[in-house]
Amino acid sequence: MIIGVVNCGIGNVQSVVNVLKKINYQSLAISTPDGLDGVDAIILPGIGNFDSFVLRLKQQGFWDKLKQVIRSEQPLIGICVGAQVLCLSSEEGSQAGLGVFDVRCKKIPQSNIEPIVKVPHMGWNTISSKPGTPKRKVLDNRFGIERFYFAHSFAIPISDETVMTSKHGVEFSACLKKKNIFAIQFHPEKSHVFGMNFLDSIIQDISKDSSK
Amino acid sequence: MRTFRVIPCLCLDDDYFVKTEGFRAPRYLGDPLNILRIFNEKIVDEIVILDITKGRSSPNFSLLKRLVSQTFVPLSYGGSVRTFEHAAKLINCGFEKIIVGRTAFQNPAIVESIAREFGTQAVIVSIDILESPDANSFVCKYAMGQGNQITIDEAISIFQDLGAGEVLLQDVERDGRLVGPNTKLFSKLKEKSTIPILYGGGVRDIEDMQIVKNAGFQGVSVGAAFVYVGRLNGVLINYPSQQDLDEHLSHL
Repeated sequence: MIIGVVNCGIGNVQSVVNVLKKINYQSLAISTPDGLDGVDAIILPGIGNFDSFVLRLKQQGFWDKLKQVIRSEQPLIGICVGAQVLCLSSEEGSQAGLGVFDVRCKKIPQSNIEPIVKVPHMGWNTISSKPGTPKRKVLDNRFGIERFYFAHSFAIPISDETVMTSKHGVEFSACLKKKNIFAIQFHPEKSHVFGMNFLDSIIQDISKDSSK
Repeated sequence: MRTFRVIPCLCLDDDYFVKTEGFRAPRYLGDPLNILRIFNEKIVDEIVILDITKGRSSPNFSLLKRLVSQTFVPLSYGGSVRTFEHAAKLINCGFEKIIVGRTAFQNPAIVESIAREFGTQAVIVSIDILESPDANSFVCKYAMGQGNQITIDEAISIFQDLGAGEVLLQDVERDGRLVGPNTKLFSKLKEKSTIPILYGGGVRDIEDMQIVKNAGFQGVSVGAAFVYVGRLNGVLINYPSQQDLDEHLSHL
């Protein structure tokens, strides 16, 4: 199995490639849309402003390719802004998203009175899983409570496709799933054993689906 | 859940990690790959790498790329980030957050340009702080733009408006001296930011971290206490256990 990691110039592509290697998946950083043709699954990593990211994907020809990927049900995983562009739109910008998930990203409300909520939501947080989340291995106790690293100012509200939630002042979607497409708000590639375990579980899940 | 972050801060001098006092007098700590591997195994909350090499005009990308390959926790980088292109290349290398210090004061537009492309969560402005000569107040080490001296509160507010997602206040004189955090500074800040603020300087132990947390900060950057042990400052990489951190630094 080969995983293609979209490299559109915005995103921590190398971190994703590094973590996939660590959990024994073969991956390729892919800089041209045609490069996605031969891969078994695609990861769309993102550290970026919503509009800048969309425009960059369009400039590089990835946008139309991703629409095709979605139509053909090729497995796809979006991370952070890569997850948000799978929604309809975002308050962060005026560009339209890919619309896989029927929901609009919203700014996380900030508060300077108790309970204090600073934005961006920056740091580790716990999640609650709903039915439909791929089963993860139980990790050794010594690692402590399962937690993931978040760094975002805009969030995906909870929708019918939400399979994991988290809370920073308000509750929001930590992960959404539709067929073999996942949108992940946190950074599994930077969430150490918890992120590796989680990525492994969803890659297993989408590869199982696509071999049906 | 503990939201307060405890962040080892490591200084690069050429190809090695060093520990400084007042960000001067670097003392050799060791090979950065080994040191990062140890912090990575301890699942630290986040790591800050600051390159303090004299005369560097751009980040040492080839070394940084190797360092990132060993680290599966969040990483921020600061040091000689002079242009937007430097920031873009660092993010592509695998850093999530870019720290701008002196450059942010000299050329505030860089904060805006990084935030516009990569989002506000990708930019940290570090503000170096000095005690004023009359020992009665605190000032930013660098003047803004063409020489305007501004207060720390003003600096935080300006950088927040420009798009910084986080501010790191560094008490320069306390760096490496293990003298405790600057509570006098905390009492003078009228901090009203909407973004997270981190503090670094003098932190020795979990009690000091509690002081920083109770002063309203969202995280603490720690140097000497995580690389030295004992009265003679023997080099030993260390980090509190998750259990200790959760017990003492969680929000009730």
